[in-house]
Amino acid sequence: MIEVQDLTKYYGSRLAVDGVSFQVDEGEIVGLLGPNGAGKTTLIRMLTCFMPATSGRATVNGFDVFSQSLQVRQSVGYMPESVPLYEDMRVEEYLRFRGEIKGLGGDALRRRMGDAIERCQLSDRRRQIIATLSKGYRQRVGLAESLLGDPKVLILDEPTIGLDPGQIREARRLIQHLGERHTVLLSSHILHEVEQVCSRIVMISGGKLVADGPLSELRTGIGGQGTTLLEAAGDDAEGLKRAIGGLHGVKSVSAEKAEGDYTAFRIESQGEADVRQAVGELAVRRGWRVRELHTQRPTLEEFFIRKTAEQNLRGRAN
Amino acid sequence: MSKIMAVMNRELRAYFYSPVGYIVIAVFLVLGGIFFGLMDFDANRPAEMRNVMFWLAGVLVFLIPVITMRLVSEEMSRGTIESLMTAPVTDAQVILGKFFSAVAFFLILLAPTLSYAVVLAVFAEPDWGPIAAGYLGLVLIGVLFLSIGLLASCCTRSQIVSAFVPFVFLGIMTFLCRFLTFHLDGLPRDLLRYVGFLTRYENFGKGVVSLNDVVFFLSLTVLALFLSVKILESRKWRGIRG
Ligand SMILES: Nc1ncnc2c1ncn2[C@@H]1O[C@H](COP(=O)(O)OP(=O)(O)O)[C@@H](O)[C@H]1O
Ligand SMILES: [Mg+2]
Repeated sequence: MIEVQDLTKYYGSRLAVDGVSFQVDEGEIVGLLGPNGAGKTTLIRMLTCFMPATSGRATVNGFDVFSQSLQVRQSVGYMPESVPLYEDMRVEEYLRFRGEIKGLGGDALRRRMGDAIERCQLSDRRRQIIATLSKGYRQRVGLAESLLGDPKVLILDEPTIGLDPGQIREARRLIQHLGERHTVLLSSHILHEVEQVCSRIVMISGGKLVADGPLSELRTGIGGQGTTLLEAAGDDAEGLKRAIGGLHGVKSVSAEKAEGDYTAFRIESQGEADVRQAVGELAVRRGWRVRELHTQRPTLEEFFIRKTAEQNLRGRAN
Repeated sequence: MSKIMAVMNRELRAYFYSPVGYIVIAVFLVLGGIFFGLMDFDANRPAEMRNVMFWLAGVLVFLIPVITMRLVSEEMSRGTIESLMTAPVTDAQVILGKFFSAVAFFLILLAPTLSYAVVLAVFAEPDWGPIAAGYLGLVLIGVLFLSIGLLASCCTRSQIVSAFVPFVFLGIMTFLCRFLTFHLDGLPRDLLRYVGFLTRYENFGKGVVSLNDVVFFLSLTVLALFLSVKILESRKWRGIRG
């Protein structure tokens, strides 16, 4: 549905998007995640034909964003970041205008408007002037607008920015519904939100792609290693430490005195190896009393923050 | 075509969302009425509208930039340009839709002045030929002004700039050119006569409709529209902060 190849954008001499490639398949809800200034909006604006790329290629729905811009725009529903609307128009009036410039008319237009208004729960605001709508309702008008053409692809730039928690939950539910009928690419700078609705994440930072994959894969694949903690009491801490170090999958062990006569072992394991059972059995066999045994894996949040920080450092070095 | 109509329709309504549209109409009618009353509605003079049309053209120099200033500038300053340009409409459709809306507004503005002609007809025997020619001239010069105003509006997100620049430009092309023709001679004078808007327009007021003048106004209008489309296209290359 969306294919991005080596897309690059310079604003003057400033590099905003740097050779990004990824793909979105039909029916997916993909989250474009990145901190503020990462280049999400720039990337999206190239996909929606608002501005051309400096280099690279992108196709949406099989159409090239550069040479087949009109077809791309016909098949994409787009909600820009700031949700620009004509303030003086009434909701219904605005949607009618937008439907008309998408080439709808007559019965089809009426049907689509009714459908979009219903899906975005705007029925009681049809006649309201847009300038008097709350932020949450404006967002819904923007969303309803993007649905008018019944587009195959929906591109939403920070759809939940500026909403309160209740509205965010509602928007999330709405977007999940949209995923049933459309392929969705949405951007966000908040990991938590993307995690809730997206099946896959494309993470960019400093204009560069830093991660791309299904959520579950990212969660397990990111750190590459886990830390297992063992707290136990017994004799010969050195001996146990050496024995643990010899276990399959263990990279390194450190031991340190904990309160009471307990010793705390920190065991770094390789890859996805789960060493908990082996460590536990070993300790018990050696007559140790175990009071705690667990494994920590870096969360996606930590991964996100680390990647962001790395990119920042690199950015400063350049 | 229906997309041009859709844009035109929205833009035409937009004139009446804000007080600006009503103010423009009011100012135009009041000034037109004053000039008409002072100059043409005079029992001792032949019944004609030449003078009132001359002054109406002067009024257009400052009113038309007010009509056109928001057309594209407002979209840029409010960020709505982003949803407009990412909709499946071409740049030419956007420009034409906006242009036709301005033309329609202008015709609405002119319509009440027909009543002056009616008043003339009631009290005197006007010479209809020059009046019709005068109206044709007024429409042509107005439409040209509108296209120039639209072009300016495509160049900046500031409505003040997009009103002021065409105001100055139209003032120069209309009145300064005409003024200078009185003080120059030879080639410069002929040149200014050729390009000056008012000199051309006055021919219509005299009841002389020449193809040359009609083509002059229409071709400049088309040129301004063409440049507007090109500028709108080129803005995408520079990128607009939305
Ligand atoms: N029109 C523009 N002109 C110049 N620089 C821009 C423009 N738009 C964005 N940028 C810069 O490009 C970078 C990426 O911005 P943006 O795509 O808006 O990021 P995001 O949407 O992820 O917050 C930022 O450093 C921003 O300052
Ligand atoms: Mg952004």
